[in-house]
Amino acid sequence: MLAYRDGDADAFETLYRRHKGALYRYLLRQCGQAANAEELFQDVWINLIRARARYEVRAKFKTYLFTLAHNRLVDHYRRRGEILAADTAAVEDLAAEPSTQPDRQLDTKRRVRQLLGLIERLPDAQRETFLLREEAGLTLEEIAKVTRVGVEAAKSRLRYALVKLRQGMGDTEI
Amino acid sequence: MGTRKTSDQIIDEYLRGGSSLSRDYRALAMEQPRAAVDRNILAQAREAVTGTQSKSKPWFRIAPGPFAAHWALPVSLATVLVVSVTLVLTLSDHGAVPVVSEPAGLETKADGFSVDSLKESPTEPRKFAPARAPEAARTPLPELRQDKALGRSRTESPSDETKSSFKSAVPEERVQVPAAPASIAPSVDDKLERGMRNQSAEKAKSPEAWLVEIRELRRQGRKAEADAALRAFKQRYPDYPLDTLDQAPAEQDLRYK
Repeated sequence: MLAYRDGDADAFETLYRRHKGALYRYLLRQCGQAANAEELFQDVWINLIRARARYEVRAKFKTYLFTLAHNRLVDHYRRRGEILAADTAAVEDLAAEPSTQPDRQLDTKRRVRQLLGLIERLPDAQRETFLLREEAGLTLEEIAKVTRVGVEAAKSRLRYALVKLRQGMGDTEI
Repeated sequence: MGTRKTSDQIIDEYLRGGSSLSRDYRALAMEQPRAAVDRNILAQAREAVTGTQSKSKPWFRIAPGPFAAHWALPVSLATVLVVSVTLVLTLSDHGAVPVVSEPAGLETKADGFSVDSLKESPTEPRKFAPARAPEAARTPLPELRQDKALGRSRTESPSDETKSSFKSAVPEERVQVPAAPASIAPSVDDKLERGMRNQSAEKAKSPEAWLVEIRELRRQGRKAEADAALRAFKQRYPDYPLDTLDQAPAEQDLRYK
């Protein structure tokens, strides 16, 4: 990001290729529909481009990027006043591995669809915490920073999310 | 307490990675933004750094809004209409005088000479008189006279009363026309106007009267002026016989010598 701030356009492309998928899926899971996710996705990157001159290294770039995304998402929620239903079409497009048996594919699809439904039904804060961990790979401290809560609160959210997801998926290890 | 401990263990196991939950989620995590979105963002990023205008505009900015789509055509038509009317009015202001208000009396052959001789005169002014000049002192463009001579009347002829009054007014007024009033700012146009008036007065003179003047000048000993007037006369009436004039000066010259 520093290289891009100093005028290296190729550096931005490297950053973008590295983080675009995670950011897009984070937004998609949160707002539920691909069209809204694309709009938010573009807004986040455009804001990043506009703010490049003020960029300073205070944390990992990933933390900075998802903080922008979190803020944009909060705006989105405020404006809409609601959370839209999840877009489950992506599940149907899952490509099966060639060596996988048909019954195994069906099982994978069933489990993925089930997991997606469970994620959708999580409370917003727990869902966001889980996604920041899964998509962005952030630590608890980084999640706490992005969501502006304490580390313990972030840990608690993640714990509740994991318990619900495991229960929903039929795991009884709790 | 046992449940709580199990929950912490779940988190620890999860944070270390490799949980079945993460594996299931990774199988789901395949969605990517569309290629058009990628291109748009990368183009904007490059444009922001290089400062050059990108050829591929953002798709969400290309589409005109409902306001622009609704008003583009009416505004364009109104603009074209206003410009056209302004242009027509401007052109008519500049072009109406020679076309519409051409002095009718000047097309007449008051002195009995042809219009063609007037057209070929080298002293004929090429510039049309300004609009503020007195109507009787104006001289039309040679082209207009030619049009009249060829019978190509572009305007309606004025009434006979107007023509006759104009004819009778022209010789006297033009000879004694004073200079332009001082209230009007003197300009090149004014000078040209005055010159044209003098020329018009000379043209209005009959050849006989002109020769009498020349004779009088010679009689008074103003030879230079008489010669200049004679040159002008010959230029104006090249075919007019000068027998009577030539005799008188000779006598005068002998008398002076």
